[in-house]
Amino acid sequence: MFSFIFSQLMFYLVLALVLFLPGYFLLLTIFGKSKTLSSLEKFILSFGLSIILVDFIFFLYPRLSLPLNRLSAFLGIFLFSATALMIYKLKIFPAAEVPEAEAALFQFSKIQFSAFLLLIFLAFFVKTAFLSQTALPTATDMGHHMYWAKWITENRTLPDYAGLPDFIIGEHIIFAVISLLGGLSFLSAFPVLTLYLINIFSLLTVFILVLRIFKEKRIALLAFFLLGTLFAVSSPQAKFISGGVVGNLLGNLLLPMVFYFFFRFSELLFEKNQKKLSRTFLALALFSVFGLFYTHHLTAFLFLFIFSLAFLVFLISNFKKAGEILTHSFQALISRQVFPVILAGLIFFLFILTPNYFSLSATQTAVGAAVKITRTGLDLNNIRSAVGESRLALGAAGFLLLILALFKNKGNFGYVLISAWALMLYIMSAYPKLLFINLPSSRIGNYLTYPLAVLGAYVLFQIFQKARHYSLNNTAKIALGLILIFVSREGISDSVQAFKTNDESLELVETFNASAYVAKNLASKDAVLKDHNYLTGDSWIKLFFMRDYKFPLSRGYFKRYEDETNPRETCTLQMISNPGGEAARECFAETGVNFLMVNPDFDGGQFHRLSNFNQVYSNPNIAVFYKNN
Amino acid sequence: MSQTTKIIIFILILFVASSVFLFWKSDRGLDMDYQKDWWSVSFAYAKNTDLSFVIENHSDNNNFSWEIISGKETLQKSDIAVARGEKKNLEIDLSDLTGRVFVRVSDGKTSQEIYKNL
Repeated sequence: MFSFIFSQLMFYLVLALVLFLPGYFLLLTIFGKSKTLSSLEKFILSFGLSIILVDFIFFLYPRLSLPLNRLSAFLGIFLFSATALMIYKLKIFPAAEVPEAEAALFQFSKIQFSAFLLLIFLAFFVKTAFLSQTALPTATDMGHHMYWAKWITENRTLPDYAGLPDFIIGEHIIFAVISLLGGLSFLSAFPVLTLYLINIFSLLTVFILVLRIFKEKRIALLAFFLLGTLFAVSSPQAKFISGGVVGNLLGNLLLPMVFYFFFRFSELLFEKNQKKLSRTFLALALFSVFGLFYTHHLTAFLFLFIFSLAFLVFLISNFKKAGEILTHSFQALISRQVFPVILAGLIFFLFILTPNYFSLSATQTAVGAAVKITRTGLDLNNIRSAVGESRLALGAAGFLLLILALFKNKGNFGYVLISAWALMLYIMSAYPKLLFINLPSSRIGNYLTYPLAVLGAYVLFQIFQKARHYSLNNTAKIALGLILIFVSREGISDSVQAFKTNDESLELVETFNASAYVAKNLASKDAVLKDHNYLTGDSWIKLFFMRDYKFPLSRGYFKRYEDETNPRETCTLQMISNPGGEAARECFAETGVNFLMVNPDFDGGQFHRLSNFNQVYSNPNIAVFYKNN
Repeated sequence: MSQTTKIIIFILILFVASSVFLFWKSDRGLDMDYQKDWWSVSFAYAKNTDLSFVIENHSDNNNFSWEIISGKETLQKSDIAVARGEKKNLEIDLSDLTGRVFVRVSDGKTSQEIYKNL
């Protein structure tokens, strides 16, 4: 009991140290105690900024030949925070007046306040209930990511990912640092809980973004409702948390944060006495963009497309002021607040640590004509099932309404940004050919839930406003109520369906027990092959060996071996499915595989028939075979 | 206390409560014994011809019987008690064996076997 309480305390202290303090002190240094940001905004933005800051701090370690261990990790964060605090103490902050309307943005009526607390509570409740069945370390993606995080803690430096472009350093540093500082095992709930926190903060970031853009608390509350409370489980929410979709969750946190800073920059762009503040927001936006590029390539790629469209539309819709916008923006870019950030970012990119996906081959896989069916675009049914029918309908209506509103609010970059966010993601997921991109369409489609929730909130609010304005009769009010019920029913039933999961804890501990056995008997020249089809939590097996990302070898899903668009080796299939065959014999000689971990019911038979395999381990769900010659 | 401070505290409380609950659930899920009923048998030395083996018990059944079988002949057999959460190593000293030699272990309800081709 004592160790449980101690580990819990350590976990929260480490979370505060890693995921709050650096960002908080950065904001303190920049804004002091001014009310430019509300305390809620400071709290929310500190989280995302801390993730980026911690990344940048530890990018420096290999360059400075510093090992990444518990002490150095603590000192790195402590020194940054202490320096920021010292600068804050020495800096003189001019008294900044915050307009009354802006200050009132974060003052809620009693009903709004209660509603917000209720929505937050429901979001936590549903997600926690779902995760209570799925928080075990079984997810394939999470296993792969945690291998790299553990690699950092064991090798005390940053990995080069052996040329694998799918992994990005920003996805792993925070997990490694939390594990190092808190002494937490990767085979625990801490990775899932860290992702949980990231997910919650992404919802909160959307909340403050919407609040700032629309200046209307009810729209922000509705957006939180449509995004976080309803559909709290479906992708990319709690399912992505338990599934360990690290990059996507981080991307959905950083993308709204980037938009938030860009929007605040745009708001003050033409305010003569707010130039400095406007440029500060631009600096923070670009800093966050750099962070995004170090964290998730797909989201960064999407950002480039969305932002380009938004900026283009903004220039066209403000055609008469286009020259002025460009001039002001350029002046901001070369200002003393922004230029050092650009310079520092480029230095990091070019000389300190270049993201491993920045290679020609990686670019070629993302750009070009799609061949695979999974990359040729989603049809309306696919999108509907990805984002929810009601959310899609509301989002589409919201999009049209917002476009109409744009004619009246041409200068509102936020309106353009939200529209471009939805439109570009829709084009990229439904018609990738138009943009010549070659990426899995469903992965892009999942991002749509965020802007669609915002647009849905916008249209719902407008309908209610109009209903109130025209004092609609009871029939109309009932009709509006039905819309809400329809949306809620779909959102809740979506979550309920996701609860139909099996308890996998028995199979999981059996996998881990067998893995520990193999690890104990393993010599340096031995090689292991395990099965991905029938073993639970198999991607976590590599954490018992820590030899290489591709150790043990894995027999993948059968359909992958039949994929004509992506021909792959068949040794991993042959060595388990037909270990006595000629092809398998060559594969064993080539790979040196001599330990095999399989399900005894599905794959034990073919080994029993052969005289050169000993079954050396058995539990109800795993058999380990040793090839003895 | 301002509303935003209250919201922040509320979020922190909810996260801590969720976190304690999920850690507790996960610890129990990863506990080899908690509400689980299984056991394993393995050779103490996977790579050589030694037939010594290990029974690891995570079930309520503490009594196991085991036998060493070569062809149709039972070379050695006995019973052993292994408590839940315990691992017992059984030293087997048999030599000059050839062919497939099985170690068959039963808890009275189910049996599992491992073997070496000597």
